Amino acid sequence: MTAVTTSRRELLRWVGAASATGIAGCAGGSDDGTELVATLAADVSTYDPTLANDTTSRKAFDLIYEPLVAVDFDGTAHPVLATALDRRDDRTWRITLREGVTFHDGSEFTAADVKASFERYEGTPRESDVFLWYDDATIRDENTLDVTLSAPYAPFRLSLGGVPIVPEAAATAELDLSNRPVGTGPYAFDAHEPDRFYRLTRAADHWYEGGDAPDTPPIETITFRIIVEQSAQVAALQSGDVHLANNPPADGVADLREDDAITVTDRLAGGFEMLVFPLATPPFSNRDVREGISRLIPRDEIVSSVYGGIGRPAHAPVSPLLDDYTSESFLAEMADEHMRYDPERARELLADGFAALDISPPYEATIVTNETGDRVRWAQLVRDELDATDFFDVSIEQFEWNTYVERVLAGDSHRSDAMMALGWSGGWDPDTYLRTLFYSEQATPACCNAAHYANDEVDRLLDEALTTYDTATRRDYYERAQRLIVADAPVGFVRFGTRIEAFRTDAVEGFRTYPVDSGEFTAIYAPWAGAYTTTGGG
Amino acid sequence: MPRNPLDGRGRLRVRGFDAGADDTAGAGVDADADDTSTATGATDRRRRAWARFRRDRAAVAGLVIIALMAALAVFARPVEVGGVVVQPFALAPYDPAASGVAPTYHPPSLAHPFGTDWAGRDVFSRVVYGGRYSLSIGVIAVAVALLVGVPLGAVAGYVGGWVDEAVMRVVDVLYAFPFLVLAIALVAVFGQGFWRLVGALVAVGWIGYARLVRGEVLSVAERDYVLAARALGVRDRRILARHVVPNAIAPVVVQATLNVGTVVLSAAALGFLGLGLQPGTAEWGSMLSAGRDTLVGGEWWVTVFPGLAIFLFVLSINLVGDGMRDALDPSVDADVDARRTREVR
Amino acid sequence: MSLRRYVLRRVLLTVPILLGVSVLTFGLVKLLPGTPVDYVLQFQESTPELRATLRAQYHLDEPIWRQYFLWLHDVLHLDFGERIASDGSVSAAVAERLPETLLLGGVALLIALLVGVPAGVVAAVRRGSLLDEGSRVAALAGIATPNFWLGLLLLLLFGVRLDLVPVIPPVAPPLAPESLAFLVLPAITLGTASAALFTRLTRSAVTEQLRREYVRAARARGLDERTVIVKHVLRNSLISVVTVAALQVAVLLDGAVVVERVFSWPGLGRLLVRAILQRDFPVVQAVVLLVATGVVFANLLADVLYAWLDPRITY
Repeated sequence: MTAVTTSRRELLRWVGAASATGIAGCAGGSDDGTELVATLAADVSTYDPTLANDTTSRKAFDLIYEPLVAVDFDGTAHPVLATALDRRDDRTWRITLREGVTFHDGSEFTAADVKASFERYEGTPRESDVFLWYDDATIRDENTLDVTLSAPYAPFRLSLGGVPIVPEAAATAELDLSNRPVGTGPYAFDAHEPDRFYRLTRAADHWYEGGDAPDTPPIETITFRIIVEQSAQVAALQSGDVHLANNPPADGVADLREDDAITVTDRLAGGFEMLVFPLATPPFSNRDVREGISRLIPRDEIVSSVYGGIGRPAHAPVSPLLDDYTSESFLAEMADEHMRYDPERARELLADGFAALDISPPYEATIVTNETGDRVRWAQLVRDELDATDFFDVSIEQFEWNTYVERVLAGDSHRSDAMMALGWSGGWDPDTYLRTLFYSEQATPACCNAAHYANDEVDRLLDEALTTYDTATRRDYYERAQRLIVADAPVGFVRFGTRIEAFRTDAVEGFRTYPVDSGEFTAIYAPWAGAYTTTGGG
Repeated sequence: MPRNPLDGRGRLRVRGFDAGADDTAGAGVDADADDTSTATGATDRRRRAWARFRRDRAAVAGLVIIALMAALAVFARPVEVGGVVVQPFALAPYDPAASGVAPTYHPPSLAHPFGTDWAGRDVFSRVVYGGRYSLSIGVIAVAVALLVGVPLGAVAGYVGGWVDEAVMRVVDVLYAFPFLVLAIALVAVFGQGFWRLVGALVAVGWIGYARLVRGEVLSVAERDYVLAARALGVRDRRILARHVVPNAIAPVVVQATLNVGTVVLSAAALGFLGLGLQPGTAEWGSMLSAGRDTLVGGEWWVTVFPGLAIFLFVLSINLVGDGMRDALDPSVDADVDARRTREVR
Repeated sequence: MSLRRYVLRRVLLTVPILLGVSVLTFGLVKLLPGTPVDYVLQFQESTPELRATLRAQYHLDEPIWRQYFLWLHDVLHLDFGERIASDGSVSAAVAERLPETLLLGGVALLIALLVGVPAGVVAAVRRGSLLDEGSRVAALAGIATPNFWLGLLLLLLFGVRLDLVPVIPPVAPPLAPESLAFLVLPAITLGTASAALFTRLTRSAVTEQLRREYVRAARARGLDERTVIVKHVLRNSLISVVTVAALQVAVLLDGAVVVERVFSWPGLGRLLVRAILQRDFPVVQAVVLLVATGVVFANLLADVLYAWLDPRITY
């Protein structure tokens, strides 16, 4: 298997290189067709969805595989490989599959492939993508499948969007996805030179036809250049060596905006940055202290200094992106009552809290962060605010990613004297922003409730909301849960995330920013959403 | 080439030595003298060395620059020891850590000669204050490495035998180890911060001195006066301390001076990889690393000034080190030493 | 002892040294907080069963010495194992990147020699002049610039402002003209410090040679200056230069880590740093062992060359 990998990659390398010498550096310079050069900030580590825990790999195979249902730019689910989803009862969904679809290796797409795709998640790092809700599937015929859930699951449709469908042969040893990914998507895997580039080419027989978008993807080849150093990424965009850069550093955005040759788009995303409090350690065990610290987070200054004015402050976990579940008035209410920046009120609260615990200030604490530039900076601004009050003497500890993850997710994270600067990103459903962070049983090390926040009422509300299918009811549950969470302030919310893309104006047309992680390149060709990109001039 | 077993002074030629060195013998100890005249000889030598150093214009310029930078660093902001203000002057107009003293990313102006950074902090104050970190990291890391490496190397060279073998094998293993792996690992284990950084640099730095001293000691230990002292029954420790080490020390001092520069650069490189000091520290390397995205953008002042500071500091210290080398040992040209002791990093 | 015994002894010593390096590496990476499981699972919900499965997969619950010997046993059968944080075998990952780093390092060393040696010769011949002092300061200036900053500045100047070279490696065979054109900037960045070193070294070696009897004799015989320098002095000086060049291997790797990142060069340096940060033990062990072997043999070569070429040295 090893030898095959190496020789196959070698072959592809020379083939790719030979055909690429004409393309190097120029859009559409080859006679085969058009090429889009985009960037990835890290190397692609795997082609197998069950193993891909890094967003880079998921972004990279997003165009190769397709899910049953896909979510568009506004959060609506569209049929892709499934043409109909019928809820038979609380726990059973009947899925009607699209006919006439073939995988890149020529095999037919049938219900057996779907069932195999689900079940192979067992025992893999991405197990929870499926087994959170999946119990069993019954194949009724080639194009119909009944899925049984372990409990009613409201985000079922949205969750399906996160499960790429692979051939049944991948579940046995016949097909090794790690060698070469095989899906039904509009693009097929072409070549991967580790640390150099990752390339896709238009697939031969994509099923889409007769709609808003062209039947075949306008762009023939997509080459992802792997550029780790952010300043090099911006430089490559400016010099025209790449056409599309995602998430340029905040320092570079202002200058890119001024450049006429480059268009910068930003879009409010679903995640947020927060400061997590170790609830078991005084003074963080006191609610007034926590609200006081939250009211000292200089959100507006952070948005302007650290993020160049892009994005908006966060006072609650569910982002305005999910407009079915939250509203401006709700967010304003949360801000006014518990979180908004107010140094005077903060000092009162801190004084009360410290007095109640009988601790004399200043209290020495640390903020733990990883090396992400933005996070490091907002942590510094928060530190400056806290130090200015004389209640705290804060220093910042920066760790490289793995050490940082280990500290944040350690079982005793709530007992250290370190606040944790953390960034969270979720999907289209509010559950993804609440349960793993605030549900009592998700306390580290099970998952990500680093504060070890435990509130029975919140647990109950989250459970109810997850198993109720009616959106209005869910919205009510989530608002009530958020009110409790924000009032308890186990974390201080800082800013809602944004996704920023920068691309060369003359080389990229029709590209849109997808607000959820790992869907960056959706707009290159998503006919089911009416989105497609062309290479403009070149 | 015919080999004369005796050198110009009638002593046996020592193995491994370059022919040129022995001829002048000004490089080594005056072997025929006893204890007291060794002392006078040493003072004379030092005076002569200083005179030679003064004649080297570039080296003197380097020394002046270092002195200036040190002064700036000390007088940048007031220094308090245990509540008592030891140094009240503040050459840096603003607190290096104070954010928001001016608009962010303001280009150089009269009020802020080096401009401001992303948080509205005065870059000039930070650069001036930052000298403290570079100087202290450089001096401390090198000093501690010396304290570890010199005794180990001296003992290894003098005692010989299995002690020598053991120490040298450890040195070989560490030598083959890529420095960066060691540094990353140490910083990841112990976290980031001043002392951890120093620790990582010391863990790697002592090797060079141990090797160098061992080589010197090996050659000096064969000299007549040492053999004579041993024969007379003088204790080894005394011989080591009073005769062997002082004469082996010259190349070590030179190497140490040069290594101060290397240490500062290594600290900057670690900062680049995200393993430096606490975020926001006004250390030159950290400033360079934190601001590097601005190079593309056009806010050049954020990195150019700290970069120039590092450049000037390392250049000057290297000029001083080179000058010291030429001054202490004019006949044995610079890198013959290095060849002899395989220490050329 | 004779040269042959010396060489034999040194070669035999490489085995315990390499063993020592592998033990030290293994111990260090195991000391790091966090395990590959933390990296693989990250912010995912996980059941205790899943965590246990993964831990067993990576042998994390076995005693450390046993983990080490498992690894050592595989290595002796030339099996470097599978990567943890990515798909694929360790040997393939290393084999893909080794040529890139060798190319970068080789060109850097070449540039350093081509620049440093002539500069050193000129400085020695015109000793004490402004040219000599100037070259000395220039050499030291080369060392004094942080290499990542130099690299970024060069990249911006030649890649963006002047648009003479691409900012990222072109997609072309390694020896194609555009690839070599791109390679110049990172090689210069990497080689600057070594060039400075070679300048000073050559200068002192040539100066020393010029003082020798045979030079005076050659001049007295009527040979012109150029022949004296090129045919005799240079040849003898190059002994030390060559031996030092072999030692630069270790230095170049450290520099390569930084330069590869700035110029997006797909080499071993990037792989190594990433593997350490991901706690990918098999990859770290393999790369460090490879590099250490290179360094050890380079040192050996240097010492042997030196001992062989310089008849005054006996052991």
